[in-house]
Amino acid sequence: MSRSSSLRQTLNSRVARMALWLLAALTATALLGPWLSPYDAEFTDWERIQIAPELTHAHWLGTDAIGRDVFVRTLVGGRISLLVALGSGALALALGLLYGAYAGSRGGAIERLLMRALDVVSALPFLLIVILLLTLFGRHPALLIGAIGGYVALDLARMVRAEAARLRALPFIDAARALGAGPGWILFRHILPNVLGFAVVYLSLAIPQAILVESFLSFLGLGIDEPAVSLGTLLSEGAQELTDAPWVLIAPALFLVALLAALTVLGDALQRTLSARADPPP
Amino acid sequence: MSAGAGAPPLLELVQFSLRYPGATDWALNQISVGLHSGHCLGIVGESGSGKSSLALALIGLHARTVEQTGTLRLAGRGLAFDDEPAWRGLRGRTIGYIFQDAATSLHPLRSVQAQLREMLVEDSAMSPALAEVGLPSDPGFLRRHPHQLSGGQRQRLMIALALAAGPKLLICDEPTSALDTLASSGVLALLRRLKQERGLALVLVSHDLAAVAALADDLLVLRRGRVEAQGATASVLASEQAYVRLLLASRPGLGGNPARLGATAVSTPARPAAGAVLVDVQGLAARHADRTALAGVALSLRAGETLGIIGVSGSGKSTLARTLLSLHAADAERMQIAGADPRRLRGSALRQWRRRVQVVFQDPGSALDPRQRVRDCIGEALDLHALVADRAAREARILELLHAVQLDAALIDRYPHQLSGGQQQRVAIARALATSPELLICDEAISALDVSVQAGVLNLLADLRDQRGLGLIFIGHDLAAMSFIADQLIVLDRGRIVEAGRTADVLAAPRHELTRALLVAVPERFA
Repeated sequence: MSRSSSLRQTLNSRVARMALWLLAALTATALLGPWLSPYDAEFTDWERIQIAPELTHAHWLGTDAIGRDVFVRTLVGGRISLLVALGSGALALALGLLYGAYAGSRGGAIERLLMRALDVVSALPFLLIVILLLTLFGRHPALLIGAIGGYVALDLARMVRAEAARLRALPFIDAARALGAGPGWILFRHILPNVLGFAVVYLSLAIPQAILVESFLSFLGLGIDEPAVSLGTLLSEGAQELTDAPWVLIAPALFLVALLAALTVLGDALQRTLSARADPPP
Repeated sequence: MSAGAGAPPLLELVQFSLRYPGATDWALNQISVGLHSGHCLGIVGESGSGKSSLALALIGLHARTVEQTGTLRLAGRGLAFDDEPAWRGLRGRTIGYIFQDAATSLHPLRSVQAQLREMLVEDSAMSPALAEVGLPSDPGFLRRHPHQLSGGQRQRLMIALALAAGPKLLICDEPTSALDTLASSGVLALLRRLKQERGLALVLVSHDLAAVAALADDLLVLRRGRVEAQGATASVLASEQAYVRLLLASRPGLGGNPARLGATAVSTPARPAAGAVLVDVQGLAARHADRTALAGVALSLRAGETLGIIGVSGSGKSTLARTLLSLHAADAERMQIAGADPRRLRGSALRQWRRRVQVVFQDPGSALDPRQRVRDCIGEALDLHALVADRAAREARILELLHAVQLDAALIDRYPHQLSGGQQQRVAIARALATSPELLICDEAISALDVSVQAGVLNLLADLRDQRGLGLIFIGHDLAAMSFIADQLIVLDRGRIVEAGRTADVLAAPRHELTRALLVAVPERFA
């Protein structure tokens, strides 16, 4: 009752509901939109190179410097960005939650060792590692998901560790120990269910960050390889044509901003309901 | 309604009602009170009675969205509930306010002197201000931070801060509920002195009628936002009003207690004779980091008996509970609990031993997993030890346990935050009983509950002990509760036993000064 009611509370807020609708609309357009257009993402329309958005032709958002359809390319790029965000989010949740909850629920030397290991990994320069990995293994989306997921997991593990350590000191954990529960039982039956909501909220705020990191890497030319596109590569291409054909930049930029705004507002609303429930009214 | 009828009262509230946004019911309904300088008004009620809402209204701290009707006059001047600028001028200067939990009301990063400087004009006023509330003013003390003070000292500091600007009215919302008996009686004595010496008008909010009655001139007894009884303290205490009688009968006294507490006399089963020796501990010692928490503690308990352990905060009571549960490392010459020495047990033998020794903690709110429904909370104990064969048997056993702790079966799907404090504590007891333990350790199991709810839980524990031959170790700081439930009593002070014996003997002829101080601190029983 409690978990679904927290979700319902979140959705009762008008702003959060609008954000959810926006997110759903963006996802649906990204998934279905490209079919509506007669053009393919890689199709070059030699007749219409760098034309502006108009309703008189089927290039609704215009074409880029080599005649590719901006509408289709934005949506296809959006798909990749969403995929990377979801994939890295799921990876971060799995890794960060387990690692942090395990460290926090054990305490003592195990906890210290695990957290210092985390510090060492965090100290490595993220960009350098990504560049190294991408040059070694090629620019594959799975690698990108792994890198971003791991990056987000670092912070998530740290937050979850702190929360799990707080829970560990509460009497209900002592009560479970007094009942004869072992560390594994306490981790899976008590700690994980209690930090899950917390982690999901953190993640809803971290996913926009993951999208941003992906765009950033792609913008630098480290992300998705041609001919595939992501919002970041589109932004990078658009920036080169900014003076001649601003629409090539504006379309993916608007998509990215709308996506980030929807996710951030939703994450904010989730966090508010969770913190409101943490200290119930007297 | 009491003395000083000529002059207008300092505080006058007429036909006051209050409703929270979104609620259909009034949280407070048609309340009228008056209070003169040098007098004390006691507001008594259980949680949810609206007593704190009333106290907050008296200092204008409700949000604008809260609907408030009625008239409020302060020193004869009318005051609108939403006139924030006027209230801001009054708060601190004319009206002081003290919250229940001084630990969270004080700024955690500021020393005693920094807190005082915020309120006082001159540093020279500091030591008189501290002396007035019975606190030292040496430089060492002034440099301390709230976490370095005891609960009683924190509450005294709060009072000093509230008094710094010389208010005429002091509102205290449960000022002693978070304190142990000794600290609590000290704070009440201080309030009484301030009332007499400064001519301060006091509003004292509490769930404990007996504690308030010792100080208040007038009483207002609230239940669910309505007035149950009102008038001069003596007449309210003597009245035959049913709710007042229930509140009074709920509180145990020192000796002469009935077999069960409460208004209704129920026939109780005769107590069976004590059984085999359940706990035999000699020379128990425990450490907290590098500090000695317990030393040379000896205990013994037979099945069907209750051993009471009493002491003030920091006396090592809870550490003792945790060592007996084998949750805290201990040293002992002899340690036999429920047929085994838990220090020598490992793995499944230890798990089996844990089945036989269970615990109920002080704060039921944090002793239950917030993500577990009542069903899973109690069922967990059954799952851990594979005590039931299938889901149907599990469900049946859970319902049986809920029945044993007098909880409605309909509560089985609730989460802890959907239960009242008393219900939560009963669930915690049901969970402890699920494994059919031989020994139940109650670590301050009633301290966080309303007085009337305390009585219910005390009765329940006595029932379980008598029906199941359970050995009970009851840890607390309230001698009256001990006198009701405990056969043997141990007084703990700074980790050492300072007095031990049969409860009746200890209460009749206390030998240690701490025991005597605790005895004096127990409020009179009016039932």
